[in-house]
Amino acid sequence: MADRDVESPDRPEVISLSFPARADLVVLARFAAATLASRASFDVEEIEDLRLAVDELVVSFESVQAGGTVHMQCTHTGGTVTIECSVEPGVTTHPSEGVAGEELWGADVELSKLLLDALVDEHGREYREGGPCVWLRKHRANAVS
Amino acid sequence: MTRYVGRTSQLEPLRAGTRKVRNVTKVSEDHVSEDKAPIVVVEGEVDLAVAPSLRERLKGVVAEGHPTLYVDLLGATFLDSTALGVLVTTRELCHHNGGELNLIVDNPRILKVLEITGLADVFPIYQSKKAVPTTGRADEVARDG
Repeated sequence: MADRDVESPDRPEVISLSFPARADLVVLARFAAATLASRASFDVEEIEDLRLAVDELVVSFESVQAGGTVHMQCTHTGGTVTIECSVEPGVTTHPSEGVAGEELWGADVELSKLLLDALVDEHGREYREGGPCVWLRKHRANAVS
Repeated sequence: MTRYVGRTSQLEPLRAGTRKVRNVTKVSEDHVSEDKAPIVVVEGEVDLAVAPSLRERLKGVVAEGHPTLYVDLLGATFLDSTALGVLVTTRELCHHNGGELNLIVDNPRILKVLEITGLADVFPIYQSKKAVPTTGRADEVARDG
């Protein structure tokens, strides 16, 4: 694990997280992003911005069905945090989590985009291995470019 | 004064001596403003997990015959686009019924989200419950241009 006080631009710190696609678990994404941002010495305002941005990233999928799995990778290198997120479709789910394939959420894309535009330096969407992948990048304010 | 138990399925007037109920959605008990409009108190992190119950709660209040209401976000610490979407649709419902949806907000983080999305200019916003009008509309919170 990287030392918090010793920044190593050549050696990225990576947190990978997978969790069931459930609305009440999106908080895990916010927690992971905030933790990495803190380790990257982001200030409080930047951490809060990133928490909201990663939430918007996760909910920005046009459609997420029950039984799916959210995969997230957070990378910190040289004062920059990059977060990539994808959703793997699933066919089974715990009975308490709803019917497999039932739509859990679909984003208010317009509001999400406004927030992401304001909160991070870059964000985007691309298709990888047949599925959408959304990503964002935020630089620490005083990071050496 | 009518007070309501914090349930999402329906609103029930509190009987004298009934304990206040806080539910897991963090939409807590309601109060009534001096101008007889209900105040729905929303606390904690208002995100994808809370938005559906908040939507039902607000729809229920309007259906009870209160086209004008206040949403007290003084205890809210996080608000994402899904929560904003609920507020926007409820506002439309209020307008359709000849009323208005007002917000009570003093948290700079919540105000920032409203500013970014342009909704700070859409909702009447009050900085405290004391600022809520006794009759008609009080002066809204001064916002940065």
